[in-house]
Amino acid sequence: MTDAVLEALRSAIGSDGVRHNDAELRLFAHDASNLVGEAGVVCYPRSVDDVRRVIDVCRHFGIAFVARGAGTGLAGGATPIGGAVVICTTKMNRILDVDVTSRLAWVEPGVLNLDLTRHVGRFGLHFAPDPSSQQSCSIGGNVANNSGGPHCLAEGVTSAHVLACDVVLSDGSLVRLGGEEPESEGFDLRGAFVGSEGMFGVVTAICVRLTPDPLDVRTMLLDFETVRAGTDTVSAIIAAGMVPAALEMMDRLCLQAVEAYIHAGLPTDAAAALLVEVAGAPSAVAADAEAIERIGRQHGARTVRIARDEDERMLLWKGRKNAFGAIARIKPNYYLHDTVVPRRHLSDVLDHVYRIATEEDLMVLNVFHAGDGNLHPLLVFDKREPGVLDRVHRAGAAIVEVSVAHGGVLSGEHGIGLEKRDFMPLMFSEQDLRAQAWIREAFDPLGLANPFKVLPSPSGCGDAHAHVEGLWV
Amino acid sequence: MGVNPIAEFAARIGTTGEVWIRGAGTRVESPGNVRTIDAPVGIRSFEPDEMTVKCGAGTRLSDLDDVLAERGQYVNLGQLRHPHGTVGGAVATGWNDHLRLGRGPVRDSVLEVHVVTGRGDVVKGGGPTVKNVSGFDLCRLMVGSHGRLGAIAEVTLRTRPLPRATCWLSVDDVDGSRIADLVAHLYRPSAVLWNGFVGWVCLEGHPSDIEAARTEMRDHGFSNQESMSGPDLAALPYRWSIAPRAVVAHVEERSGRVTAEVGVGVVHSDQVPPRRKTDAAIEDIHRRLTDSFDPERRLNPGAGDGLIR
Repeated sequence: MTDAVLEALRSAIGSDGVRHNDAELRLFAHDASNLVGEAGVVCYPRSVDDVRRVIDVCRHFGIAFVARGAGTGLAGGATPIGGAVVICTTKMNRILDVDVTSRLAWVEPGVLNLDLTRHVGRFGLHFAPDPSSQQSCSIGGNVANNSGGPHCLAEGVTSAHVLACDVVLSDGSLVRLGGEEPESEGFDLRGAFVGSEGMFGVVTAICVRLTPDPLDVRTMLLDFETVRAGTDTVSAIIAAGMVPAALEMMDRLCLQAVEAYIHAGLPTDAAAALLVEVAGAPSAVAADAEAIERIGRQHGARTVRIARDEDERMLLWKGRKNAFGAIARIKPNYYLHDTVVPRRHLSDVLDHVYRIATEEDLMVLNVFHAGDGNLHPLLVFDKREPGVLDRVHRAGAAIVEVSVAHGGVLSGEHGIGLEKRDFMPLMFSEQDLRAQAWIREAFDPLGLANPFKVLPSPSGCGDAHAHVEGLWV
Repeated sequence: MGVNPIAEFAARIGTTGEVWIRGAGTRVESPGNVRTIDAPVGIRSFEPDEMTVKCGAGTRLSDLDDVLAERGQYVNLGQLRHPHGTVGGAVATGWNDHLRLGRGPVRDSVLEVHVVTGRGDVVKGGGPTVKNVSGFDLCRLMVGSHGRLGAIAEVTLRTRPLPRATCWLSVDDVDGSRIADLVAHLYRPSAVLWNGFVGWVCLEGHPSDIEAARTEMRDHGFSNQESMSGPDLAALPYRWSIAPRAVVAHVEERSGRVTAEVGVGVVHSDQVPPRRKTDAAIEDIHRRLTDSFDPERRLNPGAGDGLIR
């Protein structure tokens, strides 16, 4: 980064908002993935005007910028390439407005997902998308990735909960995409922006829909002697006309790891367990819970444990949401995958996942959103072991390929980023990808917003061969 | 060997000359002087245990509804407003009906879309699974695009279980000071409509829960009667789109007759809504999109609103 750029940034937003020390540059060279790039400088805007000033400097000098929330992304989406300017939104973390009657809130992008839910809890409301990282991920990041979470089975992913985004485009203009009003004119630019992984512009305020807390909740744990019995139960529940609030599965290794960590009395001898939550009005909840227990037993559930109170419910969820913490007790490193397959193929694809792990001599645990077919194979390893990273990468590629071969998709909620960029042709033709590039160019004809991500052939920007340490394939 | 209906549709659209994709004509009438083309018809696959259905854009909504209902499911395509159109017409306009409060917007129903661009290329967006963030969201962009970026050939839609029961209620003597109170005492209603005097509430779910909700309403002073359906909106042909928080003031200060979707912000009115302000940067994005997808502006010329040109 040249002194002229640093000086321009400092005079734009003040010296305290511009960081250029080695420690911070190293920290911001990657997100929560293993993909390491190169940060040129880190900026901490405090307002939309600061964001515009930073982007004006980037445009003036022709430097790319990368918006970053909490850095919890797992696909390298916020990994800066070739010394890009990192625009870190953590200091834009105010909840601007809550309208309880209309059930919506305006927030800045750095507001943490769970902080919003805690803030509106006293009104009996919550923000429905609930990624496992919800304690630390930002709503700006949720918008960038169109994030999901266990409760998106019934409530839908982030896109369904975003009414409007205020966005600074790379030409410096500030636009409102969507709005509080329900029927905007023109194309659904709001919908196109959500999930654009920072490549269309920088979001500076978000209007989200808030969801009423359910009147009643029933949380159940069903365990099975085979994985297939569990996945068949998932399909049968959906086919019976129910959409539970959440429908999560853990396999045996995962159950054992989690039980050793939280001591929740999980069935560690089961091949798989299903965590099912039904929520809503009381009679519907009671009827659904009864039907799910019956369907589970018809499919060979050994036990059906129903949480007796909120404490037990929280304990069961703690097991699910802290599975990744538990894994650290087995091996120091893990690689978390994210693909989606049609529910009816869950068993077959899981068989392939186990085979792939065995062939590569890796340990794999599965904890995933079974209700929407969203697999999360977790490869655990010790990266000090010679050659292990190659095996992890080969196994990952094979898992992605087998998922797509079964009619699935590359990512259910982590996004494409750098991690799966070069897998995009598995799912999309050249024409499909060209159309996606057109959308990006319509928002960012200069190609300055987070280039080199998502699309395998970088468009609108010259540096096609930037090196990223850890990049696959 | 069967003919690929998407490829055949693309061949008919070709690469030159204006074309109009004809649905059922229930939403938008064709201009008459443009070559018209019918979209592919038929349900390609329906997977009740996946809650997905794939069909040609020319499929009649009523045919789709019948097939889904046999397995206790439906797809939200705004049928209450336009029950007899086509799937493609519903997706291309993106028009919602007045159950949006509970069932969500039409745009959330589309999982995968195949379109033919103005250049004659077949383009796919999204994916066949209920959850997917692979690549940019072409599906959302196509919903409500009036076919100006691509002629919709085939879509995969997310289905939902039919509610166990549906019940419309009318509530008398609801003025501006009581409408927020009414809404506060309802758990996730499918619709709340209000004309300044009378409220209409649609409740969907378990019959016992609906009965309990009616009792709760009465306990809070909202006497309610079962109603065959919601309000008659036929005499209110214009739609105003306003922020939900502005609805009460809007209805109270109304000129002419109105019925508002409380919590959504659509106001059905007998008055033409004012033109909305547009933003130059937003217009630029629209222009660049259309320049790429349909540079000669040959798809559905004239369809859409002021921003789509």
